Order: sequence, then C-alpha cells, then structure tokens
Amino acid sequence: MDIQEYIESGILETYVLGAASEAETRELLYFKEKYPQVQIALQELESDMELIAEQMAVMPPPGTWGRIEASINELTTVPAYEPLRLKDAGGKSGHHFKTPDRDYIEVAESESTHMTIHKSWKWVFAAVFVLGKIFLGCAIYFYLENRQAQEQIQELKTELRQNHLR
Amino acid sequence: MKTEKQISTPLNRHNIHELYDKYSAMLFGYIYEIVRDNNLAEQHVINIYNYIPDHIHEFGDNLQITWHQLQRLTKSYLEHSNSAKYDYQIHNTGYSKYDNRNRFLRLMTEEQKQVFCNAYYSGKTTAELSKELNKPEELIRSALKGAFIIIKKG
Repeated sequence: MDIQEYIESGILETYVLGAASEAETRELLYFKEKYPQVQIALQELESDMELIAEQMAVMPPPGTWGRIEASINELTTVPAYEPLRLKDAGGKSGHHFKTPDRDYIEVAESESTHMTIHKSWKWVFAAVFVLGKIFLGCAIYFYLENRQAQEQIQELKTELRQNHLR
Repeated sequence: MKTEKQISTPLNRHNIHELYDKYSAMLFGYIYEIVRDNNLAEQHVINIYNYIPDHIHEFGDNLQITWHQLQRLTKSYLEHSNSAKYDYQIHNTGYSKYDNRNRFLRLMTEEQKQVFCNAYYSGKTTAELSKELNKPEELIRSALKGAFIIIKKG
C-alpha cells in the first residue's frame, strides 16, 4: 500500500474527528505504529482540531471551577462500605462513568477529618431540633408563670401584713 | 466506626486545575455547541473534569492530556449521558449564538460544514453520514479532508 495515498485518502481526518469505524481505527493504529509519516500527519491534524476548539472556546461561568473542586473533594474520600455506583456501564468504548449520587450526606470534609452519615439521620436531627424548640418555649413560659406567681405571693403577703397591722 | 479508603489518583487537584485553565473554555464551547444550554454544558464540564482521574490510565503514562484525548473522553461521556442532545442539527439561520467565533466554519462549503459538524459534534461515522446524506463514503471523506485543509490554511 502506498502510505502517502493512505494519508491523503481522508481516513486520518475521519479518525481524528472520531468518525472512523472500528476496522478503520484498528488499521490506522497499525499504520501509525509502522509508519512515522502517519504519526506525524495525525499529530498535525490533532493540532488543527485544537485550533478549531480554540476558535469556538467560550469561558465557562465563573463558579464552575468551585463546583468541580467541591466534587473532587467529595470523591477524594468515600466510605469503604459504599463503593461508588456505576452509571450506565458498558457500551462500545467500554467507558464507565462514576456518579456521586450516594445515599449519604457528606457532613464535614477536610484533609484529616471526614464524617459520613446515613440520610435517615436527618429526621432524627429534625426531631431533636423541634423538641429542643418546644422545651425552650416551655421553659420560658414556666419561668414567666413562676415569676408572676412569686410577685402575686409577695403582694398577698404585703396585703396580709398591712391588714394585720390594722 | 468504619474505616475509610482513599481513591488513589495520579492526578491531584493542582493538575486538574491546570487542565481546567488550559481546556475548560474549549471544552465548554464544544459541549455548548452540542447541548445548546449553558447550565447543561456547565454540568457536563464539571462531570467530565470529575471523571478525568478515573480515566487517567487511558491517557498514557506521561499524564500529559492533550485536547484530542480530552475530546475523545468527552465524546464517550456524552454518548453515555442521557441528558445530552447528541444530535447536531444544522439550521439555515446559523449554528449557534457563538457561530461568529468560528471563522473556519464560515469558510467551509455547506457540504463540508454539514459533514464536519456532524462528525465533530454528533460523533457520526462516515458510514452513518454516507447513509444519511445519500452520498458515497469517499465523498464524505473528501469533504472532511477539504474541511481540514481550510482549517490548516486558516
């Protein structure tokens, strides 16, 4: 096969765009290993692709990196008993994409400490919070009631003392 | 208390940040052309950067990720993503609100543009394009070749 003719056939462009069939890809990767011209031509085409991507570049919203960083932190430490689930595994390329949709709330995270609790605990926390508020309300109510009663007792004592003096 | 394990990754946050600085605008622009939705494009960018550490073994031993490799990962990710509208439509009114950024597309003929965009954004193979456009595969390859000559010439 004339390798120059192969390079000129447009198959390299097809491969670089990801539009080549599996058989074409296999063949091309074989020629890439065998002929340095193919490798050089591919590198040039990859540079061309980068050029067009640069032309079409659009800055992502300002908070995007922050969100990526937060997700990386979340994935850095995971509980040993809960492996990350795979979403839509398989496919022709064999890629597996992990999703962070675990059934756990990340409570705190830092380099040295990390705590993960089950979501069901949120109802316990909510109940404790509501009960705490109720107890606080009761305590204030009874404190005020008690203070009022004390004042009334004092008044009655004063009245009794005055009546006694008369 | 159950023990925790660390995900071992050859890429640290610093490396990912470098990659983000280098390619995020290109990646966002590329994905936007496919999904045509800023929020969705942003979410895909976030997901892709999160998946890089898990797929680093696919990029070779030197950990130097090229745009081409990142784009391949992106295409593969989009193929598996249910939310991505992975079908590039060409409109008479233009390609998207960012079209005017691409001088190469403006220089291409309609046929070259159609073939190039469907392969580049939609990931369609030459066989699929040949069938869809009812044209021989050689013609599709030739159109792609012509599109790349325009890109080279600038």
